[in-house]
Amino acid sequence: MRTTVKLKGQENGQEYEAKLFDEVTSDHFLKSQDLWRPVLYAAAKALKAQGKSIPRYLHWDWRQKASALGRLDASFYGIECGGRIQGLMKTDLGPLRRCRLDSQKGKELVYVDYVETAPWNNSEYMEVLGFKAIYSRTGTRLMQAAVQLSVDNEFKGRVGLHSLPETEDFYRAIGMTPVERDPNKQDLLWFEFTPDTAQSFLEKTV
Amino acid sequence: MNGKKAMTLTLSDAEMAALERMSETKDMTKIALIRQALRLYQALDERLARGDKVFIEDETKKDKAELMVL
Repeated sequence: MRTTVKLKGQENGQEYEAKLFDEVTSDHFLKSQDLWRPVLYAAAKALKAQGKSIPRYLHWDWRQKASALGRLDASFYGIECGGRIQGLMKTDLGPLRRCRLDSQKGKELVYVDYVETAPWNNSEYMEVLGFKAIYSRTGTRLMQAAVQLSVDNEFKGRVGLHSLPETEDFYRAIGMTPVERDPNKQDLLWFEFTPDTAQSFLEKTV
Repeated sequence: MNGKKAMTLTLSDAEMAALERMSETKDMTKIALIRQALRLYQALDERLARGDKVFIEDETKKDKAELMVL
């Protein structure tokens, strides 16, 4: 799958054509690790110097996820724009992942295992480094892909994930329901899209 | 997902009845259920091939039973 989506320039508000794809390879992991981590480390250092909290996902290493490429219960998505990778996502479709929201309890869902956007698209990180962030909507486009994957697998748009504290506002803003803190997953907040909220999200973010 | 290929699947009456029951309960087509079963089987098989043990836990009693794969 390779489809065209639109990202928005954070500085000028213009729309930019980007490619959303699921043929992710270990090369994408190598590139993102090489390009993203130095910027993220620099931003973390600057944030720490200002007494602010550093990104909780600083230690993520996409190269370690290469072993899941080709697995039936894993799907990967990437977004490219301007010749660079702007975001990556790993999802888990395995039948052991289930909904926790009372109205959906026990039903199958797509679990978003990891989702990361390039650090130059994060306004907080770029501002602390003295730059402007480049694109917005990368995370939204990836979440649209997760919902579509859920629909394609007859999970009716149900998607669940554990959110890091710094991204909780984003998931609330796109209409996911915060369900509970998970003591088995560093007390991270569990969010879900139901079939209705997923449909509403897709309609609002065409 | 890359290209798709078709195949004919022959099931026993009991297997088909189980598949139909699950299909109705879960409001999913038979093929979606078979894909889920394949994902689960591959995931378990890979863990077991690595020498991992797979357990099923009773959340209330905290009892753990090892999943036996013959």
